[in-house]
Amino acid sequence: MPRARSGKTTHRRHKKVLELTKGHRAGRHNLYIIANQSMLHALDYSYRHRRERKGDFRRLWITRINAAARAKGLTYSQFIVGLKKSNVEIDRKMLAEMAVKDPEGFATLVASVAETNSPRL
Amino acid sequence: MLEFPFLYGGEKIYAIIEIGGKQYKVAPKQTIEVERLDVPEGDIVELDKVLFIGGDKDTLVGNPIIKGAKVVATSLGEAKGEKVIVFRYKSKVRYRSKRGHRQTYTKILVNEIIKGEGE
Repeated sequence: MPRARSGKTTHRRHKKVLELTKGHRAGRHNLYIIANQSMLHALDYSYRHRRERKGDFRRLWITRINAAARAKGLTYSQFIVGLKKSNVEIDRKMLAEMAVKDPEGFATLVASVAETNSPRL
Repeated sequence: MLEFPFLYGGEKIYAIIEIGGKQYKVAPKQTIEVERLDVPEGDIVELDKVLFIGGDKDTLVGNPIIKGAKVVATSLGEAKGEKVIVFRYKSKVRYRSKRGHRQTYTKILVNEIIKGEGE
């Protein structure tokens, strides 16, 4: 059994780490040494995942736009090509938002794209 | 964010604008947080990069922007976002770096959406 250290400074440092690892599973939230390692990795993952989040959302928006566009008879790919050809620069975040909150506005957009860009055969 | 449809003087209207590299859906009387603008609190901001106007009256699509259309907003000053702890760690090479970060943003209150003439 290792000797437990209970000085004030040590205690404060430990408290700071344990405060951050609340909710981690098993010993990772109450055993200092394990918790400390858990914290180092967790904060590093936060950094990485903040960046990954941008891609996660883009993927979600694309899925939503695809579903809404298909309901109006165009695939996502055809829809985006059409928008590009007619110089519409509304981004995927907004298109997805429109598809959900303003289906009529989205429908006019799909319709305008469909008529100006007939599919190539 | 306010739900669409948002009533304004009996008319449902919203606009999609671009500012600070990001696009926002705005309706009159809505407050949005945008990337820091260099304008003092209380000043009027005119956003002319309007990409889309929707609502129950008419739907305008810009290519890429709607000519003459703009969104008039009032600056509500700058503020800082929640603190983010930027911590990098590499195991086995003793690499650690820790920094705090708080993004500054400007709050703006949308007053009016002007559709512009023609087209």
